[in-house]
Amino acid sequence: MISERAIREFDYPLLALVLSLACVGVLGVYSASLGTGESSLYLKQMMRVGLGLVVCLAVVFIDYRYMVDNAFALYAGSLALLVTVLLFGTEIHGSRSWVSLGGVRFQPSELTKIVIILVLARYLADLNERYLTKRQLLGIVALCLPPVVLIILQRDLGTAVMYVPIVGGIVLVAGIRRKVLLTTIALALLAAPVGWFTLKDYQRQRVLVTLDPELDPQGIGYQTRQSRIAIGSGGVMGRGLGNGLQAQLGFVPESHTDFIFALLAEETGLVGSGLILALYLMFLLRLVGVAESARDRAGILVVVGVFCMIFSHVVINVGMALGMVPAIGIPLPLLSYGGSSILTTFIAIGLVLNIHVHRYVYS
Amino acid sequence: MKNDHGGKNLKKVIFGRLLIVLCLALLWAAGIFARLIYLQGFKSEDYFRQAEGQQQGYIELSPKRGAILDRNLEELATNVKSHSVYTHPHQIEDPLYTSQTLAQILGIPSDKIFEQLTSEASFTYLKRRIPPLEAKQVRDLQLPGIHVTEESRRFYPNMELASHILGFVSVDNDGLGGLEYYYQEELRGRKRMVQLKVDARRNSYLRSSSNEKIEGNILVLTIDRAIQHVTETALRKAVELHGAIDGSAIVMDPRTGQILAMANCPTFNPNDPGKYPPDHRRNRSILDLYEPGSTFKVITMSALLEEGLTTPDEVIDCRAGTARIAGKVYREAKRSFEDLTLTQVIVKSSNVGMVKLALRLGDERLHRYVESFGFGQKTGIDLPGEENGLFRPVSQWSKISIGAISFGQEIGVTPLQMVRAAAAIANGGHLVKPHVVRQILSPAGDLLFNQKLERKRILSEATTRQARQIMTAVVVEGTGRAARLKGYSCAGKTGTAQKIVDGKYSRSKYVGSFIGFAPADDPALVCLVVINEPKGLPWGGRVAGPAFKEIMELTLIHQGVPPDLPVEMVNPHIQMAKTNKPGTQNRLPESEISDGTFQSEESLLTGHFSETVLTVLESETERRAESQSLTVNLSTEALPDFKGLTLRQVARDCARHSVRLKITGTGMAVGQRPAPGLPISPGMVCEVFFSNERQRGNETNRVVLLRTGEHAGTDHSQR
Repeated sequence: MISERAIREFDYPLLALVLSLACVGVLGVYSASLGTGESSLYLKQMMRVGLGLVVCLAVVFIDYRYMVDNAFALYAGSLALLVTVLLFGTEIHGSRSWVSLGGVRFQPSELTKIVIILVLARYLADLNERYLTKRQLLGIVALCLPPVVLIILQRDLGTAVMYVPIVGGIVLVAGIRRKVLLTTIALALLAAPVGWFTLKDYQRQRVLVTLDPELDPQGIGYQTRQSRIAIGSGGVMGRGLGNGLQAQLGFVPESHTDFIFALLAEETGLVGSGLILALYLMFLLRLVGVAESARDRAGILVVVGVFCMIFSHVVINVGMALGMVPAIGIPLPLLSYGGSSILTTFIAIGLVLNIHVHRYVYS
Repeated sequence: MKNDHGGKNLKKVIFGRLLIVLCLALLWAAGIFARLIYLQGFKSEDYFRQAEGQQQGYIELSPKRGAILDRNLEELATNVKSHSVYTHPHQIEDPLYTSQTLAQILGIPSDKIFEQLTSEASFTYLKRRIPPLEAKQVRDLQLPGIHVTEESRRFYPNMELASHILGFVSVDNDGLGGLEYYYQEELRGRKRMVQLKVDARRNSYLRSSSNEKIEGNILVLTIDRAIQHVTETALRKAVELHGAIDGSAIVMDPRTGQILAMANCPTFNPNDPGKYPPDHRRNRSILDLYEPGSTFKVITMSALLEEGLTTPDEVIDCRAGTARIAGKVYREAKRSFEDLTLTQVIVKSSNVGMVKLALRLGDERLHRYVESFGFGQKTGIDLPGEENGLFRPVSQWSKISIGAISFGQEIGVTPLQMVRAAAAIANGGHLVKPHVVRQILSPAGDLLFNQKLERKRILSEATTRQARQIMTAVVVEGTGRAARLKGYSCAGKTGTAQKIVDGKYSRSKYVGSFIGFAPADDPALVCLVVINEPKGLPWGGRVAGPAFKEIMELTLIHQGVPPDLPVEMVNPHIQMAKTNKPGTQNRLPESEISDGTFQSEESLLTGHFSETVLTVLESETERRAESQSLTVNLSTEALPDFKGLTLRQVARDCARHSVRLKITGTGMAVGQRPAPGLPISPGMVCEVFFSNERQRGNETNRVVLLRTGEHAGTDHSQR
C-alpha cells in the first residue's frame, strides 16, 4: 500500500522543521495582532497552517510523477486563472492579483510558482545532456514569459521578480554552458539601465532609498528605517514577546505580514532571529538532502525549484527587513500572515516530501 | 518515465551544480547573519535610543503648587482648577471649520487658530486658562484633534493682601516674585515628566501613572493675615492722606525676627500681575533705599551708651554753631536749642547735639557700630532681591561724614534693615535674622523645615534699656507724640530726611518715617512706617506716627499682648517713671514667650478702647462689675488634645474654645494641626484629622511630627 510506505519513508525531520517555523509564525502573528487590536489574526493563521498541512499531506499521497506528467495541463489552467484575475480580480495595495472565491481571497500568482516549477521539471525531465541547448533555453523562456507578463500586468512586480531565482536555479542545475550563462548575465547587466528607465519613478526611488534610507526617512525609506530600528533595538536578548514597541506601536509597517521578521527580531533579539534563520537553513539543507536522494531528474529539479523559491523569499524578505534589499512586498514563507503564501509553501513542501517518499526506484 | 539512465556521471554533475547553488545560498545566509549580528549585537544601543526617541513622548504634569498659609494656617495662596485648550494639529480633520467654530467660543481670530491647527507642531496650546463655561462648550463640540485639559492655577484669595511677600506666578505656574520665586523649588513640587507611549500615528498613551506625590510643599508664614491687613490699610491711608508717592510699613517680632506684616504702597493684585506697572510690584520694604534721617540717631545713641561715652542725663550744649567739623557748621532742622540732656537731644531730635556726641565715637567706632547693626549688608530675609543698602567703608568717608551719618545722612538703608536695627534695641541687644517663612510642611502635613532663631548680641542689656527709656520719652513728650498708643507704653523715633535730588539735599522732597516698639520696657512688636515724599509738612511724627499708632494698637491686642498702661494717660511723666522701672508686673518670664503670643493668665485693662479695638476684642471681653473696667481674656487657654474623640465631641470643644474647626476625614480624631497645648488665638483654625482605622501608622506618625515641630517652634524663642 502506498500510504504505508509513505508513512514509513516520510521525512519527519523536514516536517518538524516546517511545523516549528509555522509555530514561530503563529507566535509572530499573535504578537503583531496585540498591537493592531485584531487579536483573532493568529487564530486565522493557525487555521491556515492547519489547512496548509492537510493540503501538504494530500500532495504527498499523489505521486509527484503524476503531477509532473500533467504539468502542462496545470500550466494551462493557471494561465487561465491569471487572465481571469487580470480581468475580474480584486485590487489590494495597488496590485490586481487577488481572486475572491466564496469570501476567501488568494493570489493565483503564488500558486503559479509551483506550476512553473512543475512545468519546467516536466520540460527538462527528459533531457539527458550535460548542458541545455539554446533551443531548450528559449523554450524555458517561452514557458516562463506568459505567466510573468500576466503577473506584471497585475502590477505585482514583487511576485514577478520572484520567478527569476526559481527559474534561474532550475536552469543552473539543469545545466547551462558557462559561455551562455556569462552572456546572459552580461546581457542582463546591459539591460539593467534600460530596465532602470522603464521602472516607474516610485520603484526607482525604492531602489535608491534602500541604498541610502536617510534619503527620505519619513517617506519611502520609512519602512526600511523603522524595520531596521526595530531589529537593532531588539539587541541580543530581545524585548520580549509583545513588548517590541517598534512593532506594537505601529512603527514597523505590516508587522504581521511582510515585516514579521522585524517584529520577531525586535521581540526575541539576536537569539530569536538567529534561531529562525537557523531553522530556515536546516530546512533548506534538508531540501538539498532530498534533492540528492531524488530518484529522477524531474524530482531533483522540482526540489531545486522549491529550494530556490523558499530560499529566495527568505533572503529577500529578511534582506528587506534588514535594509539590504529594496522593499518589495514579499512574504516570509511559513511565518508571514497570508493564506496564499502559506498554501503555496505547504504545497511546495508537500512536493518535496512526495519526492522523498518516492525516492526509491522500485514502486 | 524511464529516463534515469543518464548515468552516475551526469548525476554527479547535477549534484555539483546543486552544491554551487547551496554555496551561493550559504553565502547569502552568512551575509544576513553578519548583518543581524551587526545590527542587534553592536549597534543595538544606537537603535534602541532611536526607537525610544520616537516611541516616547513626555509631558510635564504640572504639579499642584504648595499652598502658602499665614501663621494661623489661613490660606494666602492656593490653587484653583482652570482649563486650557490644546490641539494635536495632525489629528485635525477640518482645520477651516474647526478654527471658525473655536474662534467664536474662544474669542481669538479664526485665522490665528487656523495657522496653529495647520502647523507642524505635534502639540500646541490654543488658549490657556479659559472659563469653565468655554471649556465645556469646547468639550461638547468634540472636535477631532481639539482637547481640553484641566490645569491647576494659582489663586490668591485675599487679592492684594501681602502681594509683595507672596509674589506671583507665570502662566506655567513658575514663581516670578516674592516667596513664589524664593521658595520656587519647595512650592512647585516635583515637575514630573510623564512618559508617554507614542505610536506611529503620533497618538500617545499614558505609560506610567504612578501615584507619587508631586504636589509642592506648604509654606507656613510668620505673617498674620489680620495684622497684614491692618498694616496695609493704615499705610495706604497715610500715603493717600499725605499725597505721598509710596510707602512701606513693617511689623516684626523683635525677639524672633518673625515678620508679622510687611506692607508697601502702591500694591498689586497677584491674580493679575500683568495689569500693574512693575513699579507697583516692588517690595519696597527690602528693595528701596532711603536715608533714615533722625531715626538713625538711635543707632548713634546706642553706640555712645554702649561705649559709656555719655549718659541719658548728660547735658550737651546744643546752641547753633557749636557743632562744626572741618569748617562745616551743623544746624537744626527747625529751631535751635540750647542746653539739652542726651534724652532731650533724642526727644527733640537735635542734630547739633548728635553731631557733637558722634565726634566722641570717632569714625572707626561709629562705622563699627553701624555695621554691627547690620547696615550695608543683607538682612538675610527669605525674600528675593534684597538690597545691601549703602554704607561706605571709613576709607571713603570725608571729614564730615561722621556728622552726617550720626543723624542718618550719607547712608542708604532698606526699611527692613531699619526695623532689624530697632529690634536689637527692643529685644535687649540681639541682632536677629528677619524671616517670613516659619515652617515648611509636606503636602501630607509632615514638618520639613522649621525656622531657627538666628541672633547675635551687639549691645548690652543695660544699653538697650537706657535706649528704650529715651525712645519712650520721644513718644511721650517729643516729636513722636502722634504715635502715642492707648493702653500700651511705646518707644520710638521720628525721622524726616531730605531726599537727594540731583546730588543735593532737596528742600521740598522728604521721607517721613517713624520707628518704634511696644510695650516700651519689653517690646513684643517693632514697627516702622516710611512715607515717601509726603506733600505738606513732612515731619515723620506727623505723616507716619498715626499709621504706626493704628497698626500697633490693633496688632498688640490681636497678639494678645497685655496692656501696660491705663488708657487715659493723665500725666505722661508718671507713666514715664513707671516704665523706667524695668521688670514691672507685666513682664513675663522668657520661657513663657512663645511665637510672639503671650500666655498670661489674664490682663487688666482700664479705660476705653476705640470702636475698632472693641470689635476686635468683642469675643474675648467681659465686664467686671466691681472695678467697672474691661477685663480682656486674651488666649488664656491651650488647645485641647482631640485625639480619640468623636467628631461631635471635637466640634463641641472647639465651640467652647471659640476655635474654628476644619474637618478632614471621618471617624475618630487621630491628629490635629496645630498641635495640642498651643495657646488659642482669636480666630484660630484647627484642622482635625479623623480616621476610621484607629491609630493608622502614617497618621500617627504625622501627628507626632507635627507635634515635635511645634515644640521646636517654642524652643527657639527660649534660646
